[in-house]
Amino acid sequence: MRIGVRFSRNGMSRFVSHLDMQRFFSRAIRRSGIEVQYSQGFNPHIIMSFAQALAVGLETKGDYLEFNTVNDEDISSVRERLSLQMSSGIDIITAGMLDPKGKKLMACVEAASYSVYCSDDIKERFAALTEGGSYIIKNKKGHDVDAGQMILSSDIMTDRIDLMLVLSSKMSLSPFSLFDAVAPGESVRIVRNDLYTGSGTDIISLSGLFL
Amino acid sequence: MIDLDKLSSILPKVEKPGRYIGGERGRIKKEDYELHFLFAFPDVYEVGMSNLGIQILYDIANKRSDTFAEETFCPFPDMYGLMKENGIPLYSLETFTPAREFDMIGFNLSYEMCYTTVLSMLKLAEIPLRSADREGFPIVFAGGTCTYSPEPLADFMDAFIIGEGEEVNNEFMDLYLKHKRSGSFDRRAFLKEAAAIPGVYVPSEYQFTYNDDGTVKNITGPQLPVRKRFVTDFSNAPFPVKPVVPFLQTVFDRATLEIFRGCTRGCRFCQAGYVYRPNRERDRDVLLKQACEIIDNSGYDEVSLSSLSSGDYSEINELVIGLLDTLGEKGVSVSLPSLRIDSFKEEYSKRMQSARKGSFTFAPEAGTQRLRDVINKNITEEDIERGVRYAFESGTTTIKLYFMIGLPTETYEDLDGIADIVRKIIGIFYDVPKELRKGSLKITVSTSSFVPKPMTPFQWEPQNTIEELRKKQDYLKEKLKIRGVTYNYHDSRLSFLESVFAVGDRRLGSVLEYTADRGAMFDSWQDYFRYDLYMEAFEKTGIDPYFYANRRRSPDEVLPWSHIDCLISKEYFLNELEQAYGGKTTPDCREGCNGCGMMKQCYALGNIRKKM
Repeated sequence: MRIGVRFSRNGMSRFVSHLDMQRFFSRAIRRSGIEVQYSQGFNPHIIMSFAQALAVGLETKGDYLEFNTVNDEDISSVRERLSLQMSSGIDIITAGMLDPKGKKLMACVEAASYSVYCSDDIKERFAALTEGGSYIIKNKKGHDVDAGQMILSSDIMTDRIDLMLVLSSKMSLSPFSLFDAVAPGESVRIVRNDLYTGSGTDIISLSGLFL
Repeated sequence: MIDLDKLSSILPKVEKPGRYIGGERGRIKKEDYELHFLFAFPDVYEVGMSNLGIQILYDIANKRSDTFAEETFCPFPDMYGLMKENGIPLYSLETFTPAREFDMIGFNLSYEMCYTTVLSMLKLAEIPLRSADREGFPIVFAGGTCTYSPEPLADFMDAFIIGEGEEVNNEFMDLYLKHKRSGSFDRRAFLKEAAAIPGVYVPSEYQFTYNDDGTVKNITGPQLPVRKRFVTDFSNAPFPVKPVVPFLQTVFDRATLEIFRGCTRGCRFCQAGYVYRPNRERDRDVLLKQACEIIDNSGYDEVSLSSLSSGDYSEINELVIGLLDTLGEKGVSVSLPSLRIDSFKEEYSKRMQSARKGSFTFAPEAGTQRLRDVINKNITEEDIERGVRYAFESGTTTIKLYFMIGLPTETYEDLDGIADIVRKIIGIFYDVPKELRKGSLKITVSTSSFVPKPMTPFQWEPQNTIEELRKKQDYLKEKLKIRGVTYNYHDSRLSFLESVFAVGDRRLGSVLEYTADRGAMFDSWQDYFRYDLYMEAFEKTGIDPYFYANRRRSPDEVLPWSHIDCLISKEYFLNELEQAYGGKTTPDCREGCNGCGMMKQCYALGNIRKKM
């Protein structure tokens, strides 16, 4: 049975690297006793994939991973058993069955929503810079990218900016790169709220793929 | 609690921030306690989290309802610098509490070259370095194998635990609580009383006088000698079955079972082989049960058997087969480090291979039979040949060989012997039928440099000078220019300093303080080792390092560790030294008691059956 899990992480656990998150979830699944599928070969490992990598320092309320169980399982029991194996700051929000013939979650992701907690000053700078629609910044590799094109929506709230950014295998904008350009040297707290699939008005949360 | 916002602002700037955040599965949190204890490990997180001793003691301390024990490690230089810059003191990983707010801090000392890291941690903690200046600060003490020769740190530690901490730590904590509960804690009064606990050495209660030639004249103090403590019921001794499971990949990133403590072999250079006596095995059933619990609680997919020489466990076949049978179906593999060639048993090595393929490691330590007899490493050329032949036949193509250079009586013929062994191994490889060999042969030869260690028969021996060691390394570099062979060797300057601090006295404290004040730490990490700073420190303090490292000590000399007793007699060590010079080996003590001085203890444990 193909199972998707939505999880959150906050607090100091946001500094766990992606590789370490993979190791953490593998061990959590092993501890839970849920029988899952393993790869073949010399060093068998749990076949498990994340919908997206989580950058070091990024909090999340909506990230996903998927794996296959050997047997059919009661989904609420899977959620509960996994929940018991979490660690400080990392929690299971929900679990659901996925279409066994569907695309991998990582191939579905098209966008991500974020909340960026920042001062009024940064909010103003953000508004000014993105006003024109086109906004060139340097990405992590040092290449120029047009951030404006990849900001699908932005809402300036009282304590934060809510953003929807493009995040797909072809193109993506890291909120850290964006705010490094908006407010160099200042640290802002960024929370990923959810991951989305589809486009335009058909955009839905990945949890919408849970059967 | 430290300022977490500040911490969060520097974490994105450092390498592996996961080292500094705690929150791992298995980390303890407590609300009610009287004694707040901090275990401090003087190396980076990944190294410290792999230390089994700390895990055992952390578990024991937290089993006490009156105590909350936390952990801390030394921030790596990038983080260390940023913490200093931002005014973040050394803190605990469980509750982010500054180290200086704890009641007690216990350091683990497993290697002499961690001493400056200990001092750097105290500095980052904003705790005075010297015990004498520490009024109003935590009790700072240390345990671990280096405490068998504790003097270089004597000025900085309030106390040392000699031997195994499982029981004596509790007595030390009980006494602390007694003093704390009395209302007004008097540091001096506590330390004075602690100095009477068997196995607790309070250096400020001991006085050293020196002869004109620089050797120790006399040592006075309340317990003479301070006898080491050890666990007698090893099978039932507490063992952590709910370990902290790190996020980061640590050096030993797996479940560990301690199958026995001690070693019966008696390699004459090996401090661990003597100080962990008597030999004590853990029951196989206890181990199987612990293995299942640890795997269930941790989610690890590998169990490693820990001891000084795993193959010497009396029921090793039954144990490994039992582990493979119970854990194999859970996809857990079993690994056996520190396996001796002569205890290589085909039945189980075959089954283990099926779980993991890798390289084979052998530690002949010396290149000729003559020198192996001198050091009492009772391995023959035939053992090595049989071992590698089997390894090749089962498909291994990578061999690692460990040797020591600068051993007592060593000549260049012994170095030639190293190259001879390598050539012989290559010959065996091409001897093995082609269809069994997989790929090309890779041999890595590593040499470490002999360091005379206290509590060994070689404690009176001088170390080769840096120049002598370098010449030997250069010689081997030439000799080992063979296709497929890589030669690695340790920095002889580091081995030299290791020697100085291994056999040193308390006058060396000023050298450590000088280097730590100028930022020395992580000396055993090549990139951070500052040899020149040490040499500057010796010059400034007027201390001659060669006096410690390169001088032959006389048997009548009062050694700087003669107030510490590892329960093995001086007569036995001297006799072993004589045997070494005669090239005579001493048999494994399971073949019969050699009279090292622990007969009474071995008799009580049932290691020897009849009273001799």
